[in-house]
Amino acid sequence: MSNVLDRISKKVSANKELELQLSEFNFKEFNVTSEDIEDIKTNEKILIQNGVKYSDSEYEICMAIYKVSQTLKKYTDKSFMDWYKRLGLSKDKVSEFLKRADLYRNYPNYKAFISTLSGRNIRILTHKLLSPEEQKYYIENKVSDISELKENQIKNIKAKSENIIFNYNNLEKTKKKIKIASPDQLKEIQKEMKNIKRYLEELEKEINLKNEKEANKTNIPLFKE
Amino acid sequence: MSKILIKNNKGGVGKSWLTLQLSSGLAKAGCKVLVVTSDSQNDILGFLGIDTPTKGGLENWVNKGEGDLIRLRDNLFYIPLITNIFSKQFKEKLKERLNKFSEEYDYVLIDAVPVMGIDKEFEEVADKIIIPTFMDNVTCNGVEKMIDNIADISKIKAIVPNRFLGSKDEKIMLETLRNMLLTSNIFLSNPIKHKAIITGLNSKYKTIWESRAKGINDIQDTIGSVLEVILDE
Repeated sequence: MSNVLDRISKKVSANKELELQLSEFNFKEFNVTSEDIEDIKTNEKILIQNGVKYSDSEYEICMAIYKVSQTLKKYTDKSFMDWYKRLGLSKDKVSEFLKRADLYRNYPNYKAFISTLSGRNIRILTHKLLSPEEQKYYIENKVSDISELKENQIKNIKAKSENIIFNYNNLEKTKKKIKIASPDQLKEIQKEMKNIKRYLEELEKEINLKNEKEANKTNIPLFKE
Repeated sequence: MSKILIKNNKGGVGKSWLTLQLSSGLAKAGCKVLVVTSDSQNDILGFLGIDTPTKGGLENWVNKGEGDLIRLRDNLFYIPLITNIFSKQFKEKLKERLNKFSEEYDYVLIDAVPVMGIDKEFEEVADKIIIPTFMDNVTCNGVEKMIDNIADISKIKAIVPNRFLGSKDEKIMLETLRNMLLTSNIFLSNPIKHKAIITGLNSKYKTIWESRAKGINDIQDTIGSVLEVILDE
């Protein structure tokens, strides 16, 4: 089959699918006249077809912004931000476009579903506290009412993470780095360690001061101010 | 489903040929297609080398609810026309019959010959109108007048320049038409070039979709772009 016919066949299939998608609204129940039924069905087609176009446009926009973000990565950190601001785009909107683009890239077979997701759902689905397995589950099962459930879950995880005082992950990573580090890199690491020690000493002092203050809290002042 | 009228008031601009290419393209793409004609010469049968005796075509279908139905290709059917004389009753029942056809077929394409006096009925019943034309002054002026006379201009979906030789005058005319249509929703296709390959296919009774020759690709592209307009709801 020629490329043209192939393209036309796809369009024919899409049109036939569209016919099947038309609502099974019970017109008889409401005594809708046959003229009005025709009118409603025509508008339903317009709605569904434009929905498809809307989904395609959203995909194109997200991917275009993603590609530019990748291209400008080579230049200064500010270049991408300057670029989208000149286009009149806000940081929040661009962030949403990029997150949606990530989902489009990771789940290419779920383009239409991803396009229907609200900005809020996109933020939740791409949140770093959501595991990749969960993300996959929600996308592949086309779960769209994830907002409240996951938002609460993320809040809980966040609250737990706020109770953690020190994050030792970097120290663990540094252990690995030392094994392969060059002499110059070792010097850098040692410099960092000195800084950390200094910070730790300062923290120690802060704690002692606080403890002293706490211990003297109940003392009676000798002189009135 | 949809009824597509291929129309130009001037004869010989390639209405029947374009109707055949569009309908066979739709049929190949998986649609059930019916071609109805108001051309008693039944040129479409000639393009495919079909010489079937006909008893009663569109006239019988309109008056008796049955008649000749010629299979042209898979999914592609044709109702010929025998007579040129139509009664008032025929005209009244024509629209009803065409609407019935559209319930049975995905697409009904109407190859409309202007002299028949049933133009108005075809125009009224059509969902979309496609206009093939030459890029010369006389034909284009005719198209302009025709557009002015069509009651519902929104039905006109595409203009297809046909048998384009690429002369300077034709190019100027094409550019003028393109500028005229810029603000409209009417699609102006690329011109279909006048090529020996088409004559060759016609003499072999083949459609453009039945050729693998490289030279046919641009024509398939052009007809394909018109098919996309037809398929857009």
